[in-house]
Amino acid sequence: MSKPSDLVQGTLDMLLLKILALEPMNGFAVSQRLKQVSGDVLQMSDGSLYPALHKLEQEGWITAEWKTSEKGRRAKYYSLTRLGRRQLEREAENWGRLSGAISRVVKLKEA
Amino acid sequence: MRPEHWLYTIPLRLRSLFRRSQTDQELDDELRDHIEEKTEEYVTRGMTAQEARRTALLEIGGVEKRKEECRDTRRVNWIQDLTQDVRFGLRMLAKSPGFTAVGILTLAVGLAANTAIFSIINGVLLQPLEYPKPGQLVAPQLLVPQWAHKFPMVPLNPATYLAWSHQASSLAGIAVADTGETMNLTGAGEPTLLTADAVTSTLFDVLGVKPLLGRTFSPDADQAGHDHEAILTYSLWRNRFNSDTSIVGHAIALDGSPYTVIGILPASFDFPTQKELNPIEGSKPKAEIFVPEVFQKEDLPVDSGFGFATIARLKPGVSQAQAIAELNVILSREYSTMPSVSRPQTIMMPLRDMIVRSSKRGLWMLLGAVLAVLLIICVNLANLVLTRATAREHEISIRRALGASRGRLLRQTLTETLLLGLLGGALGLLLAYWALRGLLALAPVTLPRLHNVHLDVAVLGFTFGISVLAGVLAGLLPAWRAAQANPHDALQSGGARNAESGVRLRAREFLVGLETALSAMLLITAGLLVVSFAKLSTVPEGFTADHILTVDLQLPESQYNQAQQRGEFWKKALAATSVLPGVESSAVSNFLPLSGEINDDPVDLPGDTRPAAERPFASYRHVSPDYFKVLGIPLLKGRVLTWADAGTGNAVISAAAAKTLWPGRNPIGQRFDVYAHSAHRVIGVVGDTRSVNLVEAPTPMVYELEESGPTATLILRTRLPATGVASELHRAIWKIDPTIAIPSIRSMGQIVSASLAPRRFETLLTSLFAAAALLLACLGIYGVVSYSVVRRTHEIGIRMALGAQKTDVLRRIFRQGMKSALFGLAIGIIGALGLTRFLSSLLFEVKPTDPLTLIVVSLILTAVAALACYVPARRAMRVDPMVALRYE
Repeated sequence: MSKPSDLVQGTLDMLLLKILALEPMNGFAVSQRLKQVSGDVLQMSDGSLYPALHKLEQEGWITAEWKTSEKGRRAKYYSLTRLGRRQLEREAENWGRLSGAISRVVKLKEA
Repeated sequence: MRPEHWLYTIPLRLRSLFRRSQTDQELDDELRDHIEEKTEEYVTRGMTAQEARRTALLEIGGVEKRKEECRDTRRVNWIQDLTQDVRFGLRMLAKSPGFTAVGILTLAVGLAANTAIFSIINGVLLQPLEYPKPGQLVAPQLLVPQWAHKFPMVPLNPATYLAWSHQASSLAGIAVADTGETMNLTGAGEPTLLTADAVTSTLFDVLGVKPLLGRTFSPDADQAGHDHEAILTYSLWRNRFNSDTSIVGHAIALDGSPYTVIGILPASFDFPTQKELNPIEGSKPKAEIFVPEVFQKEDLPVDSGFGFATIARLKPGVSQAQAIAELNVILSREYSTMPSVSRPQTIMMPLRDMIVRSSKRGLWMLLGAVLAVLLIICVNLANLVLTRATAREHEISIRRALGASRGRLLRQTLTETLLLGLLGGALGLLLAYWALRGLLALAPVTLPRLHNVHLDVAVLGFTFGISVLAGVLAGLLPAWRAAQANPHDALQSGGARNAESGVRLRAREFLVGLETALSAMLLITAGLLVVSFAKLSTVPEGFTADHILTVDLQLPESQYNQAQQRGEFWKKALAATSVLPGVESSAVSNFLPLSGEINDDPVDLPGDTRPAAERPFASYRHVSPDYFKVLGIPLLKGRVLTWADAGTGNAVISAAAAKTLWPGRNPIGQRFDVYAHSAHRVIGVVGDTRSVNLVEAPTPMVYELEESGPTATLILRTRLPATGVASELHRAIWKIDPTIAIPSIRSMGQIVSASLAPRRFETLLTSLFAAAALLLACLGIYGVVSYSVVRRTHEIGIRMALGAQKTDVLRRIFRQGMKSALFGLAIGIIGALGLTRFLSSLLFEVKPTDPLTLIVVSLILTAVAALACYVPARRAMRVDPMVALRYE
């Protein structure tokens, strides 16, 4: 059984990877999209967003590129790498197994 | 980590390592962008621009902190951190040059001194000997009960050697040497006297030495007739025979007889001198040539012939105790016919201990001095760093508030202290090299194993480690405490301008007191040694050492095997030399005063029935009639010798002999024997002289006429220097016999100075250490007091504003500084008194509690401490109250 904090961190990473799998975007856009897609349920604090992104970059799961956005501003765009894609699949699989197991336990009929 | 992973991450990490500023800029941009976009978002939602921006900033938390966290994720951080710390540390050190200079110098000087001295101690006392398996080598001696009171150790005689050599199964080998003989080398340039050691054929096997060329002695070289072989030392071969390899197998002329050179020893071979190996013989130069030892018939009986230096090798696995037990059994068998007082016991010590036995004491004392200085250095360094660290509490608190982690702060302090240590260490290494060279040049030649002394890297590392450790520990403590404290508090109050915490101040004062105590002890020791040396060098020798030149001559046995020939030579030599231009008079003696030669024999008084152990000893000298006149030894009673006294057994004795042998009676006309071999009659009494060395009281001396000795020293009274007389002297001697080797002429002054050399060295070194300790203590006191002044500037300003006079301030600071210094002095004096027993063995005619020395040292230390306190106190005095009050 993994530690609670590991669990949370791993899940956050997975979410970020998934968002970036949709399309390359900068940090601000990632946090906005996450909020939007989860219906405001999942919100990542700005303080932990960037360290997390940098860590993902360090692991080689995402890669960064400075591009000029539509507004004409230069921004750092992150995109998923091949390695990242593999990691995402693995994480998603783990999550499926874990959440399924948790659901089963929670749904147990009380006597 | 999978390989593809590395492929992605390595370029990334290298980039953040090498393109730091660019990466940093990008990080900055990224976060800034985020904040701007966030702000825009909030504005569109209806906030004012100001509010929006504020909210955005709040949400991201501390920007710097986030940046740091992002940087943390890049795990090349430690290299970056290190370089940053180093650069920062260097900058901080450069900013306070005083602190840095004092710190580096302290460390460097201390390291240099310690390393140099310890290298000497290591090379001389601690390192094993350079022979194979040196742990097995021992130097057995004998303890003969009847002589034990005068000679606690006696070297072996041939009977014991032969018995042990044939019967001892605990020894892998044993060899004896008759050291310090001189042989006249002729036929290869000028006739020269070589120092030759006559050794048994087993010596080189026992030592495990292989010759460079040729071979060592064969087992039958010990027999007469087979013994005309010689082995040359490397230096003799190089200097005298020009490293000519063809000399092996050829004969050279020694003392007029041909000796075949059978081998050359390697350059690394170094045989100990006579003084080092033989417990009763005097000092002789190192052997240049080795010849086989053939025992004389008269030395073979069990009770004669004691005088051979011995080296033995224990069999593997045999302990000294086991060997001693077996050797004692053999001895009891050999000496069973002798009375019990004459029966020897075995004494055994490792060979190395035997060689260094007389230098041990002085060297250990030096080690004590070294450790004291090392301690002072650690204290000074710790004090220095402590001072600095406290000053930077404010700065550290600010940095904490900006988000630096505790670990990072500690690392930075550590790096700074380590930098200081490294710089000091580098300088110290350089100084150590020079210091060692200087010391080796000054060291007395009689220091054993001097060639074995090298700069010891282990020692350097150790001293370095200790001193850096002290500085690091001292600096870490306040830094850690500051890092723990709530930065908010530190920033609120005026930072570190408050009065010093009591504990911190007391700790510093304690350290100053400690180092003052140590310097005081060193100074007292040095002072005592200086006084002792002064007394020793002014002790009356009993003869005039001025205007005396000496040269040692040896008559080769082959041409002078008859007593009459020898006697004629000496008479002719005296006649020829006394008329040389510039020479007032000349004499001969078989041993010079202060030559280190003992030549003692027991005196048999008629009717003296005391056992041999209680009989008196006297030193015997054979001198020509003018001896006393030439050396200025006063005649006290009776008359001096004349040539007419030849063969009569008439003798002149010294005042000490008269007092010992015939106390309260007139010695003139008294008779005595030496070993019942000769009958002597006293005809005169002369003044006492220091005979063996300056330290020992004058021994009873018996002077007989020099008639026919094979070696003697020619003594000339002349105002000319050696160079002015040398050529005339050579000509005069060679006119009598051109084959006589004439070594270099030494003045009596040189001989006296040489006998003082070891003590002089000891005294010089200890004084150097004491001076260094004093300087360091002075620096320490100065540092502490001046820092305390800076810290209390605010307080001083308040006092002055409230009406304190400038002199009051001065006095106050001064008194506080002197308190710990004087306390330290008191402790130091007590400490020195505690060392009394150890010190008294080093001193000559000075008590370890000598009040004059104690007073002088106290005055010096107080004066130096006062100066060190006064200078910063004066600075305190000049503080302008208005400035001080505003000083935050």
